[in-house]
This record gives sequence, C-alpha cells and structure tokens, in this order.
Amino acid sequence: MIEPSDATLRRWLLQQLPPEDAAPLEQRLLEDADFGERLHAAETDLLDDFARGHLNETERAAAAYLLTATPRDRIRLRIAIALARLTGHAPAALRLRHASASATHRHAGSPLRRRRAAAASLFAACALVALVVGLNLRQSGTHAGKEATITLLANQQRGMTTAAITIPRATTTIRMQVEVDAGDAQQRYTLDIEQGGRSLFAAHAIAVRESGSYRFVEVAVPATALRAGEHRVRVVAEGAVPSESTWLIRTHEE
Amino acid sequence: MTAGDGEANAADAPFDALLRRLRIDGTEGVAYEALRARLIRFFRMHVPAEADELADVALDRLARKIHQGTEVASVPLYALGIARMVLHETRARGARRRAAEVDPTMLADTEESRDGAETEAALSALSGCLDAAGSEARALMLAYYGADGAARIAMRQNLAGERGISLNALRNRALRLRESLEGCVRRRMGWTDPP
Repeated sequence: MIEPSDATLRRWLLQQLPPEDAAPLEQRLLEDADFGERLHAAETDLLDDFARGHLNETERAAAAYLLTATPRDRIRLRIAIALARLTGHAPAALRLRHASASATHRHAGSPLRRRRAAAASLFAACALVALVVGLNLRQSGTHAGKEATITLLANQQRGMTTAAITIPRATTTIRMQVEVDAGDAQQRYTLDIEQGGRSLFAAHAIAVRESGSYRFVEVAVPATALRAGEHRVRVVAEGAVPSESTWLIRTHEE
Repeated sequence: MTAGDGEANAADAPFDALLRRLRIDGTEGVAYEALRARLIRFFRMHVPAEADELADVALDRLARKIHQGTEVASVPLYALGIARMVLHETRARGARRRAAEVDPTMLADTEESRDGAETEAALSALSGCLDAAGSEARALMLAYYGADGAARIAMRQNLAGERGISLNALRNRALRLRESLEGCVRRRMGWTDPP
C-alpha cells in the first residue's frame, strides 16, 4: 500500500476523504500499530493548528467536532493552547467555550438550539477567541507593526458590563470584530468609536461577514483610536429605520 | 484457528475466549489493549464523543463471536467488520444527536467562567513542566511543535538531520515527549482523565 501523506491523513481526520479512500486507511489502522501512531501525530499537528487559529472555516468546524468531543480532548486542547502561546502563535486571551446568546442576542430558534448554534458557529469561526472580548495579537502582514483583534459579542452591550481590554504596547492596528443580529445579507453598517463624546474613528457601509450563524462586521482601527480610557463602540444598521448596538470598553496599555 | 476447537471451553466467558484467541498473536493482555486502542481510533474518526464506549461494544461482540465458535482468520479485520456494523447502527439510532448533547459548547456557564484563569494556569504549568523535562527535551518540544505549515516540515527535517535519525523516529520521540508533558501538566493542574 502506498504510504499516505500527512495531507491525506489530515483530510481523513477532517472527514474530507471519500469513503473509497478512507476504507483502506481504516483497515490499515486496525492492522498496523505504527500507522495508529502516525495518525496520532497527524491529529496532534491538527490540534496545534486548531489552537493557533490556522484552519479555514470548514476545517475548524470539523476539527472542533473531533478535538473537543470529550473532557480528555478538551484538556489536550487547553495544553495545546498553552503551548501555542508559549511559542508565540496563539491569541493572548482565549477561552475553550463560548457563551451564550443573551437577551439582547436575537437569533431564530429555541433558546437551547440558538445558544448551541451561536456558540458552535462562533467556535468554528474564531477558533478560540475570547467569550466577550478576544484579543489576538499577531504580526501584521502588511506593515511592521503588530495587529490585535478585539471581538465584541452581542451579549456584552451597554447596560451589562464594561469590558476591560489590555492592548499590548506594540500594537499598531486593531481589527475590531463585532457581532450583529441576523438580517438582510445586503445590510450595511456604520461603526464608530467615541471617547468622552468625541468621535475617534468611524467607518461606513460595512458589509456583513458570516460564519455559520455568527454574523459580524469587521474593521481595522488604528490603535491610536483606542488609547487608554473608556470608549463607546457603536454599530448602527444603516437604512430608513436605523438600529444600533453599543458596547462600552475600557482599554489600557500593557 | 477457531475458538471452538479444543482450547475453547463452553463454560468460559466470551472475554476469556477472546483473550485466548489473542494469545496466538502475542501476549494476550497487550494484544487486547492494542486492539482496543485501534478500535478507539477507528470510532474516534467518526463519533469521537463515544469512541471508547463503542470500542467496548465492538470488543464484546467480537468476544461473543469467538466464544460461539465463529472462525476468525484475522482478528483485526474481523474486528473492523464488527466496528463498521456498530458504527452503522450507532448512526442509525441518532448518535449525532447524543454527541451534540455533550458538545462542549453546551456546558454550564459557571464552568466557562473558569476557562480564562485555567488557561493562564495551564501556561504556567506547561512552562514548569518544560523546565523540568530538561533543556534538550524542552528545545525539541518547542522546535518540533513550534513551527507551522511548510516551516514545520523543514524544521522537522532539520531536527532529524541534526540528530541523525529518521523523521519517523523523530516523530515518535516528539510524541512520547508530548504525552509525557501533557501528563505533567495534567498532574500539576489536578486535571484527571475521566473514567
């Protein structure tokens, strides 16, 4: 039998191999102890890539199904996240699970189904970003500075709590990802950031991005617009009857 | 060879019959655990939340078949056939729904609230365990598992070349180190494997 490549093993782990290709691998798995070790190694590499957020959307969903199924798996994932951080690959703030849709989070379906769908899709979309506010620091691909990602979920709007965020000193650009409610795919949004009643940043006609049932808008914000202090982040659905969502965040520099 | 010939005893339990059959292939205890591990891997590919349980179901059926005198030319291949049937039955009765019920995203919020602190604690435990493993093991772990994508392959080829060993040997060494490291972190964190 031809030795399968690491890429083939990964496709098998992600349920992307057709049955006729998977069948001989299953047979080898039962007959060959060394092959089981190879598969274990391939799964470990997949786990590391999952923990580092290096998988695409389809891969993340399949990997989450495989790699978070049991308490033992979730312990392995925690350790992989720690290892990723130690080697400089992982988000600065991580959670293994995601929360719940709050009263302000309006998705169709039963609360249980809604919660699971929101949590699972967000898990798949963001790998392991934070529950309320995720901060993912990485080297920017476009310039010499560092880029961080802040994720604001629908259950963290004003009136609940002010989210505290530490922004690493080297950050030059902040990618702000904000969850929005289900709606027309053509809907456009405005996102603005204010501090003390003064507008520091605004972007208009932002298109919605989707990952499963997770819908969000994303903008790149200069870090200077989120200098230490309390900020109001407002997302407004543009149109004849605008609706808005507001978050309060307090930033400080690391 | 069948379990129904001379060696078999009708009074034996099916499990004993299976162990006796496995003895042909090597030390029965080791062979049993190896077969179970392979079945767990098989089921993990399809229904990861139930892999252990389904592997035991398959082994029970295999043991009963052998105890009943069914001729089994190749235990692994016969076990694979049973495993595929168990998988088919499991899917048919809605295994996916049960898997969803133990979806980690469904766990209680009170548990979720501990995640951030536990991740930080795990990072600290990991650092301690890497230090305790010694400088060479630490360097190998961070190099082997530290690279991504194409750099990962190149890094591992370099590591194997530097040590004068094959990529397979390096992979096995890294896996053993990682398992040891994970065990160390689990102990430091007080994380015990579920029964």
